[in-house]
Amino acid sequence: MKTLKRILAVTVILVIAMVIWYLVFTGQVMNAEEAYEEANSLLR
Amino acid sequence: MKKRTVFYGSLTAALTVCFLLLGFFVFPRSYVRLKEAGADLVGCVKYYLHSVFGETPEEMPSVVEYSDVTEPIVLIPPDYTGFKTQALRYYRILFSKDNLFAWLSSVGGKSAKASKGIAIVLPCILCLWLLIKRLYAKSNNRYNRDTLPLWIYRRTVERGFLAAKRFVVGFVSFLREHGRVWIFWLVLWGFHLNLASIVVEFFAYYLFFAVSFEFKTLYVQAVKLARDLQPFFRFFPWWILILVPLFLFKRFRERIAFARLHHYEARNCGFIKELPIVSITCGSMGKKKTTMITDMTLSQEVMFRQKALEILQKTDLAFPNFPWICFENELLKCLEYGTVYNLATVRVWIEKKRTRYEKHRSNRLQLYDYNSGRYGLEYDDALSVKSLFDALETYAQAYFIYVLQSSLIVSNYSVRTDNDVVTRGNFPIWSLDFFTDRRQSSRHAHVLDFDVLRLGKKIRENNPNAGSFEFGVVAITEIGKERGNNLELKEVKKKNDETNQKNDLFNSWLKMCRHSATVDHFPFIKVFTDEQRPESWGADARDLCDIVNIVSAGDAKLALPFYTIEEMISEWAFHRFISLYHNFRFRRGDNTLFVHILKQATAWLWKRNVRICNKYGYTVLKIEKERGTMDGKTVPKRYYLVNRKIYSNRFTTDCFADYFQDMAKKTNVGLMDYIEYATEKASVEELKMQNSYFINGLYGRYESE
Repeated sequence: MKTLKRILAVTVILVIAMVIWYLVFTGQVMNAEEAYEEANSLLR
Repeated sequence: MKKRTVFYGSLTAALTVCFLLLGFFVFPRSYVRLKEAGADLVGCVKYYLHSVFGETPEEMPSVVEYSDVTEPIVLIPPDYTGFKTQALRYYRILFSKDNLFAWLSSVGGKSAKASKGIAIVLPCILCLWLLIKRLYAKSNNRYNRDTLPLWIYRRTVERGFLAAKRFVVGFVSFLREHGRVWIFWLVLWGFHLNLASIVVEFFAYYLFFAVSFEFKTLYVQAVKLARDLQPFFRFFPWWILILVPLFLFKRFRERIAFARLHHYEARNCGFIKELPIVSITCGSMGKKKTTMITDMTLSQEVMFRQKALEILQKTDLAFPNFPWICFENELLKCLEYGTVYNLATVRVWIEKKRTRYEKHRSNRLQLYDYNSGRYGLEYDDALSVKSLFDALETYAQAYFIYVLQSSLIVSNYSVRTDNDVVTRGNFPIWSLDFFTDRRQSSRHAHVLDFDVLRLGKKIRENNPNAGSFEFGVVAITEIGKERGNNLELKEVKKKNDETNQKNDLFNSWLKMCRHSATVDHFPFIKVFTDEQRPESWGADARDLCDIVNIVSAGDAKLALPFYTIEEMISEWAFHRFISLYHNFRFRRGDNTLFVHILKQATAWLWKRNVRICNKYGYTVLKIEKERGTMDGKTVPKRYYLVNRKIYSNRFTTDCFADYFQDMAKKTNVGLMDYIEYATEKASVEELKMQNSYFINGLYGRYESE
């Protein structure tokens, strides 16, 4: 039971970390897209 | 000492100058922003006053506009429409397949990098491990000698660290002595980090919103708040900022843990309230019987104080205009002079007061200038009409129980209590929380002289304590051994001249004890006892009780949430280190740097884990409650033993240990002196050495035959 609880806790932490990583990554992608669009509009 | 104070003073002055210069060079914008916030506040005050006392102005105040000083944040658009567009865009990207694959590829890239790092580091660790193993393989008996690396480490790192620690602790205590410096620094940093502007802006917007209810301006305020917080996030590095959520997380989970512990204590109190005045807790050895009755005793003492306070509050409201404080002060003086020392003398004192009042009718002398003509001397509660003096009697008795600065526990073993009374010369307040961090002054339970519980013959003739016990919590461990059962007392006669269990009328006291302890229809008495089997106590007394059978004590649990991983790390470190350490201790007698550092780190983790388990740990006792008549009908219940409450030096489980110690001291024989069996089979001489009834019987019969 104790081992199961520990495995569950580690899994939950890993999942949360991955989700946060994905959310931050998405934000970075959005910023990059915006910068790209801005640069394109300036070139035009 | 004086030199150090001068040094700390100079350091404080230097730091203050530094902080002021920081404000001038690093945070000048915060002060411009504060000026702007002040202007916003003035504008909002005007807007508010116009709206309340005149017409609502058409022009909006400046608080709803963005600041000219703070820099915009790229991630947060200035208007709500822009925010919505950005949010939609974010969600579109979030759930797109391309983005997921790009992220997975990024994860793969980072993992590959990490694997490379591990691949390089792993052989190094392995080599280091082998090297240490080889170095430590050699045995020695250099007792408590430090190796050269450890000697250098102790003299450089540890000494430096200790000096730095001593300096910081000294400086912090110096600052604590000079509280104004702390406050000045806090205010200064509040201004530097724009917190003052946020507070001013909050009040400005509150005034505006209270009269306008312009919900569409809320988004602007949220953006403004985010912009105002920028100096805070920009000035401090991320590794300091991460401490803030960690601290908040710590507070959050501690709050949950304390709420749980208080809930369990409330459930225990509910269980104790259900019990009759006398109860017996039973269970085999090691089932935590004495622990449980001690826990119940501590809770009951607290409940008595709380009940006394409740009676005081209710009686106060029955005569709301009576000057209770003067009455309390006179009662305290009587306590001090010894005219009042128990509930009976309290009643006598009130009776005297009543007689004097009836004789002289003096409000000034007996009722502390209470205007009896205007406010009355009677109170009708729809059941009966109570006079002021009845209320005074109730109040004085409850106050006596409440204010008594000694333990309310009387027991045949010692119990430590640490309830603390706080007073500023007016009404005292008891601090009755078992889980608080404060170290409180200790008191111990009163020694139980069984003669005070005997209505018949006493062990000690003319015992001055006899008849004095009125109220309190009585805890008696191993009651069966004290009182015996019908079988054991078969030969004991009531008519005997000597005091015994049949002629001391202890059972009569048990049946009538509530009579002396009742205040305002509530009995301030409870008797908790324990024994291994309920049958060990005579049926006459046992029939009065509820029997609490401890079925099992569960595993230790923790009220602190989200602690699993920390516990796992602590346990892992402890077990790994202990096996390594014992191996080392077996081989060597000296101290080495590697083991020293490992030991320090493991000890820190272990101590932290122990503290948390002691602070938030608890055990659930599964119990079955049945009537003293033992009709076989049991009710399953739970009782919570919280470590912080019951294991903080409350009592010793070996409460009669001194008896055995006294015997053992006189013998001059130890376990090592007992003769060992010569072979696997006991010889006749060895059997006879046992002084056993069985063996002696066998040989007696054999020899006689």
